[in-house]
Amino acid sequence: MVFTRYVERGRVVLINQGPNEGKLAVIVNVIDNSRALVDGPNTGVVRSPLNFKHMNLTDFKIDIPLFARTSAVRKAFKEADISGKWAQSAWAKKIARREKRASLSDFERFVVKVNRIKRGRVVKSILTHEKRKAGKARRAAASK
Amino acid sequence: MPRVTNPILPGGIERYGRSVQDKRRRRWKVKKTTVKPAKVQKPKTKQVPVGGEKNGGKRVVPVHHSPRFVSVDQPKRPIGYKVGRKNRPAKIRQSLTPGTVVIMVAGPFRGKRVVMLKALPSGLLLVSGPMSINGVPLRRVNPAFVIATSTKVDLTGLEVPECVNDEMFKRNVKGKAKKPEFFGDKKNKYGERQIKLPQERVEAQKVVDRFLVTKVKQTPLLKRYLGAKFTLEKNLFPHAIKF
Repeated sequence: MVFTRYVERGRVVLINQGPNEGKLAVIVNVIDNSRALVDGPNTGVVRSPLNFKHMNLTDFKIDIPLFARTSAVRKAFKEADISGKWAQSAWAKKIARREKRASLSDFERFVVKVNRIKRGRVVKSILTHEKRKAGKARRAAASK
Repeated sequence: MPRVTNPILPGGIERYGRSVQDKRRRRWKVKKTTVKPAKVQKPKTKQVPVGGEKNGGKRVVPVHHSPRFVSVDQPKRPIGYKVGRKNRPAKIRQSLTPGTVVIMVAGPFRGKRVVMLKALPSGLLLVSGPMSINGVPLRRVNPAFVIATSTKVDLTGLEVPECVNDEMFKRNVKGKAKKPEFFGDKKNKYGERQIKLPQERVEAQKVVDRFLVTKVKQTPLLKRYLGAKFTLEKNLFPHAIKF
C-alpha cells in the first residue's frame, strides 16, 4: 500500500480536537516533527501552529506558495472549491450522518428503526428471489 | 445596576471570582434609598368598665395579658410543619407540558410511552396511554419516574372531564376492608379478579381515548411508537441521547 496523503504545504486537513474541531484547515508550513502551521480563513480557523495529532489529512491539496499569507490561502481554497468537494465526500457525509443521528429525538429514532427493518425485509426478499433464480439456472445447466 | 459580564472559561470556571465581581459591580457607589413604612403604634393598654361603687367606674388594663400558667409539656409541632404548605402549587419541570409524550420508568407500566394530559394540584401527572393503544389507563404518575420526550401531541380542544381529579384516584381502603364482595368473585379471562370501575371513570377514559387516538393517527407511525416499549439498544447511552 502506497501512501497518498502527505503532510505537505497546501494539504487540507480536518481538525479533530480543540475549539476548531470539525473544521477544515490548510497546512501552510511544517514547523517541526510534531506541529504544522495551519490556516483556514474560509472555515474560521485562525492561523496557528497545530499538533499533527490534532488533525486528519484529507485527499485534498491546494496550490499555495511558500510563506503564503492568509489572503493567498483564502483565494486558493476558494478557487479549488474545497468546501464544495468536502461536502460531497463520503467522509463529510458520514460525519453529517453521525451528527444527525445524535440529534434525533426518541420518536425519530423509532422511525429510523422501523424504516431500517422495512429496508432489511425488502433487501432480504430480493436476495432470496435472486438466489433461487440463480440456483434454478445452475440446476438447469447441470441437467443439460 | 450595570450588567457585568462574567464569561465562562474552558473547563467550566467563571472568569472572575466573587470578590472581583463585587468590585466590578461597584455596589458601594449606589446609595440605598429604601423608604420604611411608618410604624403605627398600637395602644398597649385599654380602659375597661369596672363594677362596684368604690372602684371608680373604669380601670386601665393591658391589652395583652401574659399567660397565668406556662405548660411545661409544650405540644410538639409535627416535623416539617410549615404554614400554608398545602396551598403551594407543585412545580413541574419545564419539559413536562400537556401533550408531552413521556416514558414511564417505574411501576407496572415501565417502558411504556404515554401521553401526559396535565399536572394535577397534587404534583402528580395525569397520563393516558391511550388505553386502546398501549393499555395504560387514565393514571396518576410521579413526575420523578418519568422521562419527558420532545415529542408532543396537540391537545387543543381536549376537555378532560371534571370528575378526573386527585380525588377520583384515591383508593377506598375502608370500603375495601368492609365489603370484599364489592369486587365479587368475577374473574376476567386471565384469571385475575376483576375490579369494577365507576361508570364516570370508564366514560372519562372513553372521551380522552377517542380524542387522543384521532390526534395520534395524524402523525405517521406515532401510533406504533406509543404502542412500543422504550428500551436501550446497542450504542444507545442514556446520558448521551436526546429524548
